[in-house]
Amino acid sequence: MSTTLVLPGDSIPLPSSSKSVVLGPGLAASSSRIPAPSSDEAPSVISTKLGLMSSAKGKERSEQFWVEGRSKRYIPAQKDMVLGTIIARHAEGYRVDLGSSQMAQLDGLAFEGATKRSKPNLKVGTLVYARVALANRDMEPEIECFDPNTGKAEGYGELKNGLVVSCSLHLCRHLLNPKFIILPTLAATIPFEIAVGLNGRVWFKTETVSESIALKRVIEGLDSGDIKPEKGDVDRAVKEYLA
Amino acid sequence: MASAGPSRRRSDGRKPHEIRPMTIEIGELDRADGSGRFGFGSTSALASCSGPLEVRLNKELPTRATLEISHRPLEGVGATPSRALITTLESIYPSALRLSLYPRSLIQIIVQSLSSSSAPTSSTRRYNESPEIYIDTEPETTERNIWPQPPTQSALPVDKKEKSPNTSYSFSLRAVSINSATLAILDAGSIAMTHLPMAISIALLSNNDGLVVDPTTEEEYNSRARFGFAWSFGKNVSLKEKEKDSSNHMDVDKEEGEEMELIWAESEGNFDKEKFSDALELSKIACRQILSEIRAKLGETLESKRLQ
Repeated sequence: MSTTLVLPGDSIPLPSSSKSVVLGPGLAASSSRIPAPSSDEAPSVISTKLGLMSSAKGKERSEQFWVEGRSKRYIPAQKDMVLGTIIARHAEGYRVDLGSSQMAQLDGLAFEGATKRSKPNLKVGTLVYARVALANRDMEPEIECFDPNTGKAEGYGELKNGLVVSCSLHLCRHLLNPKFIILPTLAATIPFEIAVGLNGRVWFKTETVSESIALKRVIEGLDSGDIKPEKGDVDRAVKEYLA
Repeated sequence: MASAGPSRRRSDGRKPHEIRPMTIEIGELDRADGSGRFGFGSTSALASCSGPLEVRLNKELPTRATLEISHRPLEGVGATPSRALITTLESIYPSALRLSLYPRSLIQIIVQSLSSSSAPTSSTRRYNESPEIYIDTEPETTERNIWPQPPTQSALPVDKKEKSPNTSYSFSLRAVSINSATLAILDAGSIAMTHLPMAISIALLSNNDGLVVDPTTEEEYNSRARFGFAWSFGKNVSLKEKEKDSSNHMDVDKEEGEEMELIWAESEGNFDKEKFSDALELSKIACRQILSEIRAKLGETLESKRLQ
């Protein structure tokens, strides 16, 4: 992974090979504001946010590029896993707060095994783990609490007890990466259940309150940069917080 | 700029084209989505940027995000000068941000000045003597508009209290406001931005000393003319045609590998066209310097907070 810092407006050099290129968040095509009839060059790619340039191998020999930024505000995207709070209920379903600019809609039937006769009955204030089914900038996002491929819950649904902490979107993305060492390191000392939402919320449930507090402090410390994401540093922090 | 020799020093020991040490910080405010602090020496501003947020129905735009910019002065309430600054910011940012990507939402930018907007010379004493001098009465305003000042006044700084206090913000305060807002948007990271505005103030000193970059409030107060410029940096931002690269200063732009476009120019005082173009050229160099400083500083900040 390269480590170049990019600022908005910076031109991004892309490999000129015949491989297909996938542009991810933070990148956009930009053409000159003066129409030049003679030149037929392709529009250049510019960065649209501050961050570190990242790339990875994608499917079918394509290459993916994106800008790894540090944002706190979530913008819904399809297939994202999110944590939301139910803020209202109406005849057909629920309105859920994801921390984005608009409330998301959760249909009353978008649960595993839900039928018109038997729908889950969720109260206002309930925390749900859901998947973004529809995200489009002109419409309210829609979320669902089951996997549409299997029809099973697959972990989605109401989350009972536990604690939610907010953190940067960037830390959430890393927590979902199986190679990121934080969760295995924490699990070695504290047993816990966790749900990571890509909207900057993390839910976890432990047996004791002090363990919950320790986890919360580790996550907040990682977010602010006080704790380095290394095994030794995290172990030391956990030991200190549990004492 | 024959008079502005490189060896000449200013009252604070700087060279004429030297910028005061810059303060560049991001992410200081916890509850805003993004925040930035920018300062030239003691003149500084703190800005926050949040968005896209839920928008009030009467402000909702169906095709693009509503951009709400507010400014809070250090003392008093935001009056006409504050409104003028907001208008400046409102002219700069809608073109730099891709507001059409976030329809029916709100993007909020708040700029808090961290430096006093009043005139620098013995402001405390003047305040003690006659607090009502801050009330903007007509005779004082008419006097303020006389430039250049009568030589008796500029020669004796003690007489400064007879002048009305500045009724508008200093150009350096306006420049730091623009730069801090840019930093706040950068830190928020959730709003796509296509180019990066950077601002600088320049003053033409009264005693024929020539142009100085980034004047202190005092220098500005004693100057003959003041300028504020903002340049936007980014690929394809330039409105100049690329075929006409042969002109002299375009070649300079190309050498730096940056495309830039003038997006804000304000000036007041007594100056000629030549001085204005000189100031414009100086501002280009200064804004480039600010950009490279920001790039270096943000690189450090991001590197220290890296997770992998």
